[in-house]
Amino acid sequence: MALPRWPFAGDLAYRRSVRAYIAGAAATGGRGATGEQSIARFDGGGFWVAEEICSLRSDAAVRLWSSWAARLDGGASPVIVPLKHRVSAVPGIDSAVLASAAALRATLLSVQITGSGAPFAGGRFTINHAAWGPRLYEIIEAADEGSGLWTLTTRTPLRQAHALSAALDFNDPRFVARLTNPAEFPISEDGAVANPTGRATWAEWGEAVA
Amino acid sequence: MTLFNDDQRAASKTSGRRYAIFFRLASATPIRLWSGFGDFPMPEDAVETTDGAIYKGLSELPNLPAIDALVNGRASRLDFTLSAPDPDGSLRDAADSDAVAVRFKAVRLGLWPLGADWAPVGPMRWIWRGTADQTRLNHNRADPLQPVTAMTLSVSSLFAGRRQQKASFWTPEDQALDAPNDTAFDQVALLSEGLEKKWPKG
Repeated sequence: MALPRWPFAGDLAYRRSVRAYIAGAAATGGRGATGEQSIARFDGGGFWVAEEICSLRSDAAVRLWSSWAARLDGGASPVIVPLKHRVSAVPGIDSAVLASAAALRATLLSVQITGSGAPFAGGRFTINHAAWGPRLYEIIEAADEGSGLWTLTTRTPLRQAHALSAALDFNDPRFVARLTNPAEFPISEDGAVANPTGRATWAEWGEAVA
Repeated sequence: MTLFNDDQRAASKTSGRRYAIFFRLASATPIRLWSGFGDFPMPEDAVETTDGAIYKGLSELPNLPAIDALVNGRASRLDFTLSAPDPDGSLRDAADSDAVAVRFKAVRLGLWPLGADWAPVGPMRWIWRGTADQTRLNHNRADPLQPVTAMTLSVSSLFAGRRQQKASFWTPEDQALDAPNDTAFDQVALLSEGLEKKWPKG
């Protein structure tokens, strides 16, 4: 089953801003008698969260938004959320494939890149996993190994193990997500506001989708 | 014996305390969960009998500090609750039909330190052992757009059963049944330190 693709993010006519980041959980045990504070993280690398503000400048856009309010089932169904980006886009990459197999939860990827561009820290890409669907990754360190071979340190940990030559998609960063603000997602229709603003927040879908 | 080895302690010093917390319920099809996001493969050990078993991530932010009370011996029973949007009631049905299957099955909690690259360091540690008791369901329809089913599994340690005997005095009468002339226990009634037991009157 092909997942529906969220149409607003991909279209710069609607998009006002998007903020995608990795959310995690930390618990603190308080300060001990020795003055040492213990904070523990138990999320194992976190997951993606995106907050998005869209400007709906036409009646058609408002109707489309409202149809998605119904389609998203209050956050119970997965949807592919693209992140049309400017800053974190890595330009000039024709193709990027894994140069060696990557294990489940790997954070170090060996990648063969063709094209004039070079990956950099802060760049984002998607790997379309067989079972987990497209998932987003961010480069935190890129090391040039020569002749188009790069070692990328990435977050979040890889969602699914991959064999040699799986493709990295730098052109269309996107991830499978669910809506997390179904209560404030619908927009009101009073006719007076010229540019209603829609707000959507997303969290990465925690299951395999195929 | 310390819980973690030198590598694990060094990793927690350089990259902060990062733990993956694992939950394993030994029902016919074991239920394997961990505290983070996505799948986590686990090698075979004394508890986990399947090599490379996949632990499922809880994916959201679970409320785990309660485990602290459990492990440090302050509680003998813990409720695990999972809640999820459940528009068609399928989760509720599934939890209902599985309630019998999980009863009296062993529950283990494990801890695995993660290093700077979020990869596990050293061996996995199973830190707690308990028994699954009963399941409860709470179907919340307060928000009709997003009905939520919460499933609670109550897990007890080995010291929480009803058959567990209460602490009691060894009375002179008890001793007299075995050795009628032994007077060693005659003064036991005076040993009241730290105990609230009232001596039976009359």
